[in-house]
Amino acid sequence: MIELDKVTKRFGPKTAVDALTMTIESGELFAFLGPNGAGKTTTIKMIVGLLRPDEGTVRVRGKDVLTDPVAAKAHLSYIPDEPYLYDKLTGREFLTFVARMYGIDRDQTAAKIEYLTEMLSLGDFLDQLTEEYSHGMKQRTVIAAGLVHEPDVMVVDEPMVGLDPRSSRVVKDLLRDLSDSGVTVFISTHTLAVAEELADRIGIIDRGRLIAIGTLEELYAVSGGENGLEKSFLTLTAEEETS
Amino acid sequence: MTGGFAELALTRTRVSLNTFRSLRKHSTLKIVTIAFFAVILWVGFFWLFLDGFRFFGGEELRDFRLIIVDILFAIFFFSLFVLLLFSNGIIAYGSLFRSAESAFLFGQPLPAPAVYAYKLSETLIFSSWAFLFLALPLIVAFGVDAGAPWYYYPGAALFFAMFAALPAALGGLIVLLIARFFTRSIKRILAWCIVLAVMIGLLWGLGLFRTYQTALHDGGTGWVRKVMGQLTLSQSPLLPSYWMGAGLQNLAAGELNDAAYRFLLLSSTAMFFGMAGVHLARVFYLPAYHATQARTRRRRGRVEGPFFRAFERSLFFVKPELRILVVKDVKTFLRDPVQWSQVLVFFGLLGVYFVNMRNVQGDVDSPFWNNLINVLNLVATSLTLSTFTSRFIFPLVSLEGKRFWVLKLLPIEKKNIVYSKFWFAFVGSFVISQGLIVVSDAILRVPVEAMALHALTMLIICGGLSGLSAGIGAIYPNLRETNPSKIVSGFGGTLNLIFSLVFVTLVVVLMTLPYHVAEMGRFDNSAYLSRLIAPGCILGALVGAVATVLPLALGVRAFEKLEA
Repeated sequence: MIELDKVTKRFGPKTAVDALTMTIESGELFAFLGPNGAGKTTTIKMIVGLLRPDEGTVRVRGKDVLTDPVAAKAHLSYIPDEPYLYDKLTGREFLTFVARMYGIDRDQTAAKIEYLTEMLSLGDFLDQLTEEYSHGMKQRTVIAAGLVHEPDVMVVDEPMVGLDPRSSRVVKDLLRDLSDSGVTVFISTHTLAVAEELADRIGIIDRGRLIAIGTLEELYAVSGGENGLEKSFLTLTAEEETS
Repeated sequence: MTGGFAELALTRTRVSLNTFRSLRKHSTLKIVTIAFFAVILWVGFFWLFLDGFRFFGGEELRDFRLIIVDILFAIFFFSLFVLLLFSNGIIAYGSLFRSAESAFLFGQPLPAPAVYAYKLSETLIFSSWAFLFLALPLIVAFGVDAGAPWYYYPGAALFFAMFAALPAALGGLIVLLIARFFTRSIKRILAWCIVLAVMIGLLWGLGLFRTYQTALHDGGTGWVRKVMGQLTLSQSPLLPSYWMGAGLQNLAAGELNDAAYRFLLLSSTAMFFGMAGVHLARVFYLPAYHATQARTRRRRGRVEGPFFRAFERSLFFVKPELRILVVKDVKTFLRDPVQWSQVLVFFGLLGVYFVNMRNVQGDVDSPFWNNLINVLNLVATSLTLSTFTSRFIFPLVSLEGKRFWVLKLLPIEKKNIVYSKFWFAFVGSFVISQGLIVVSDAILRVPVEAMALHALTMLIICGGLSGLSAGIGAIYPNLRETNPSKIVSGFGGTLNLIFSLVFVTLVVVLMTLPYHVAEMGRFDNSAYLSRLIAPGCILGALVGAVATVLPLALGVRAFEKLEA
């Protein structure tokens, strides 16, 4: 479960996130949408503890990310839009390193890596140095690293960027399966089709404020009952612009 | 408190091993060339220091040997400590707060002290290896000259490890506190700290020089005492540099109790600051990290400032698209305090030195000294310039890295991108170096023909150094690396530095030496040397033309073939 309570973040005079309050339940797949510069990445960075809110609190499974960061992160997995990998480690060494960080023993780590390799088709390149990987390979490796400790909460920034259609399908199925198995999945995306296909609930942020939150049907209602998330998204963000 | 540190250190070791293994993929020539020049440089330093120690041990100076070694060690290790402190501070800032790895590690369930300790140990290695390269020949040469026992060498290694660890621990701690409590740009604060420290050092050095001058004119041996008086700061027994220097001497003399005492002083102080940093990291590191991530950037004007407009217009002699590219590089340079502060320090030092030559006017009136100083000033300016082009111009093409697609898609000839680096270097270095040489010539009251000769020499040197750096930078780009220091320390950077040094030496010798040696009037063959001036200039100009054109042409060809 992720809880944001009146979370505000300012950069100088600019309020990037303004009194954001929302709760993402366990087992829910939540898609976070918004125009460029709306505050999506800032929100994500506050959830994972890379930015400190000026006001409000962020809790992951009841643990405050700021006051109890290690405990909160033990349940959390974060996959950034620009994944970080050690160039001079192989994919397998990287996954082993992350697993060890979470205190998983060697035997379990090896088994986990086998399982993830199979699931994300990493076998062809897992023993090469990551500096030789394409963006898609890196993305799949980072997703594997995010799953190696079986997180309860997964935060993913732009999960489909750089993935080919097959990998994209694999990742979508994976996120859905994770959510069905009780993992809280928070994704930020510009790809409305992904949100439409996967999300249990969708939140739309614009200029730092949460302007809509609800199921697909609830959001369709915003655009006068017309189906299509794009229509709702454009209607909502246009309203915000004129207000 | 530092749980996870062992795993991080293990991973770093694995990364280093993999890096070492991947060296096999590089050409043997590259590895052999780097190793060859590294050995040559090390042996060169070693012989220089050994020769120095033997000179002090000679008949005339034997009585002063201990005092001189004391002073030499005190100044050397004091300077090294200050350099290490700044070097660690700058690298620690990037490593603790700006690296992608820090963001990744903060996403893991790691306590902040573990991340701090790990990043600090990385800082220590990055910032100290070059200094180890410099200090090791001195330490070994001292041991050889003093006939030190075998345990001096491993003992000295332990001393140096603690001596390097102390400024790393202190530098990390200072950066942590600045990042936590100051809201201004930490990079800017560090840059100004460096400028301030250099200025203080310079004023101290000038004070020392004046004391020496005045005392020398007074006659007698009082100057030794007065100069020593000025050096007491670096010889204070409270300084780690003193513990290091004195400890090495104790070790060499077999005074193990004193050596152990000084080693313990060094190591306990290093551990104190290290532990203080780790403990404070628990409270301060994450808030400081948050503060640096959320720091607001200074808003730039929407329109071009008058300076950049004027600068662009001043480049009327190059193509319009080149001007735009050059102005882009100038803006990038001027908006990075770490870059401009280093240039300011390098050339500022030279400028202050030239201006202060007035103080030694009496000594430089003789033709011999006047001409010698002229050549030395040219050499000093040119060598400083070569460090500028090697450090800042060579990595420019590599630094385009991820932006390469923008440049490659521009509707301009690709060669213009390499040429823009050349013009940026040439204009910048020409303005700075000619300015300095004019000041030097004016103060030394150099005749007009010598002024013209110096101006021509500097022009050719600026062209050659810019051509070499821009050209070799395009031949050996490293598009994956974003850290200019790492780009410079690669094969291309080393090659460029060596070529630059050889080029500067050749041009100065060919173009100015015949004139100045003839003017000294101390040698019988002055008339013969005068006849060499014109051919020397022509030859120097030819060398300059080759150094400017050839690397640029090869660089352009390599750049056009480059697939990024």
